Amino acid sequence: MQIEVRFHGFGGEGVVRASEILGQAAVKCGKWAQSFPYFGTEIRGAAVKAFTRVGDAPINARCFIYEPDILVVTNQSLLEDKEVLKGLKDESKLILNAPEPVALDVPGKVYTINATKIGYEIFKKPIVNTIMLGALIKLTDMVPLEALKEVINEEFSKNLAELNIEAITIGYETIANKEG
Amino acid sequence: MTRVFISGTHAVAEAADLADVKVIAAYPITPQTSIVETLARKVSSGELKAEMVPVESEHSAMSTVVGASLAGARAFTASSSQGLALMHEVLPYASGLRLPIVMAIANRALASPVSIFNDQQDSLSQRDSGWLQFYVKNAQEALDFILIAYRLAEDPRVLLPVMVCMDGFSISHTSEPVEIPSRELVREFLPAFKANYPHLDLEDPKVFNVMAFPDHFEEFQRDKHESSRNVLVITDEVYGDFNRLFGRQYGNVEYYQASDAEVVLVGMGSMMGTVRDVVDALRAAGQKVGMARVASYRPFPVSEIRSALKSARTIGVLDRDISFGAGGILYQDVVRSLYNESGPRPRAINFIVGLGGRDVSHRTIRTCFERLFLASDKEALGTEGELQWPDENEKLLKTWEVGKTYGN
Repeated sequence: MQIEVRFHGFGGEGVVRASEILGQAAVKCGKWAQSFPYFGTEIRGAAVKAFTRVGDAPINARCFIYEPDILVVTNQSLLEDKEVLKGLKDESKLILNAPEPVALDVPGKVYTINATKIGYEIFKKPIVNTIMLGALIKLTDMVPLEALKEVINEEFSKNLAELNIEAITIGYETIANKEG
Repeated sequence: MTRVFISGTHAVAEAADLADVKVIAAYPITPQTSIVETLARKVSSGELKAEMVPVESEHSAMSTVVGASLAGARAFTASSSQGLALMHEVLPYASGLRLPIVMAIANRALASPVSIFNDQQDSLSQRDSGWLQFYVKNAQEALDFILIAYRLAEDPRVLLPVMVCMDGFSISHTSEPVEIPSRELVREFLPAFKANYPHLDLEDPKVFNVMAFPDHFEEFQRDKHESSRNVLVITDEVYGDFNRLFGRQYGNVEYYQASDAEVVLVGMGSMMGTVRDVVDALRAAGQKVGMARVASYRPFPVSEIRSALKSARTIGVLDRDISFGAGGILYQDVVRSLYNESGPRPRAINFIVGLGGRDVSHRTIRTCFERLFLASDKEALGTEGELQWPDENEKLLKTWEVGKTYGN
């Protein structure tokens, strides 16, 4: 059993960090995982992709994810690039940061979350990566919420860890386990 | 032993720390930089007691580790792409002086055009520098082979420098679970360093880097060649010790489903993980396919490759590099290994893939296997011929009029 996640965001939005945290939490739970970014050069504001594979057995594949089980898009304007939504399957779940539900003609299920608004409330900044991670694990059971919190406590300074744990929890609670 | 989720560059830095290197000299270049960044932090915090020399170029980095090794210290450096190319002039001094230096390479394409992304052109272009070269498949192997590299380099039967090559980004910047061995076990595998070769000593002055006239020079070269071949003799012992202590078995070639395979894909580095996935899928559909991943590129395991591949009908060699005007670099070594085999030899096709970071996907590998089966059934190789570019973009080739003469 292997789950493949593809993240799309802009440089600086933290999708690379989110993919790392997810992988790290999975490994903490005794699973196998792999996380890697794709960017031109490390520029703030440029489109960035990140990938995470999580499985029960060692992961052999070393290539991009073309047909993601989960697609995370941190910014609605990224949808202007038709490549972003490519590869969705009937079983796929798309998690989109948008102020309100968006009608998209794609296979699979679409979930929207107003992560930017939540980000402003928690961080006073449009930080969305950990909010969307909370939503992601609610929808997939890839890793338990506690494992994610543990990683955040290890990786961030005390103050940032507290804020990010709040972000994950609210993301987790906000995403309704239904489409829309 | 602890299991952590880290990138290839981080794993290599941990390995250099575990090897207790005493001198590190390096110049930053993507995708290598985070190796020496991590080491610089360790040295600055006092966690690693080593001399960190921030140099002004890769040429100086290599010169510095040559000097350090001549002074009797365990020395380490890392580079990529044009940085490695700038070291080129100094590399044969390191091997000719028989210095057991270890260098990590985060493989990156050579310019021009500029690319920060992965292929293996940079280190394969240093093939004849006298350095040993190992190509790893993931971050765990990157860590393990730095330790194995020091053990081999410092063996009195070898005394040659080693490059441990990991694919840029697909290993260097990919995070995955890595077991970090304890210092005690590492010390058992790789004893504390004591220079066992002629080195600088004020009590016993020597001359290094002598002039060799025609009546002596060839024997120096022959000795380097034979010492490099010795690696193939001692690796059984070294990999055996490694497995006994750390529970991971390595070989100079890694095989998967190869023994009864009709068609076999041969290659090096991280893309062979994707090949393994495709082998599983095709085997499940009843197709007899297999793979052989070359881990030790220099020395090249000629006899082992010969016995592993001689009974296949068709083999494909994946090259993440190109020797312009000839073909893939690994292909030349593999096909040469089969040439003097008596009886029928497998047909061979060379696939150029993954240059400048082009993704080597499951689909790429499936295409290669399909073409190998097609070639098996033909009287002779079709119009595609012996050298194929399975992922080439025909539209771009036409737009750019690739291969056309310019001017007049």
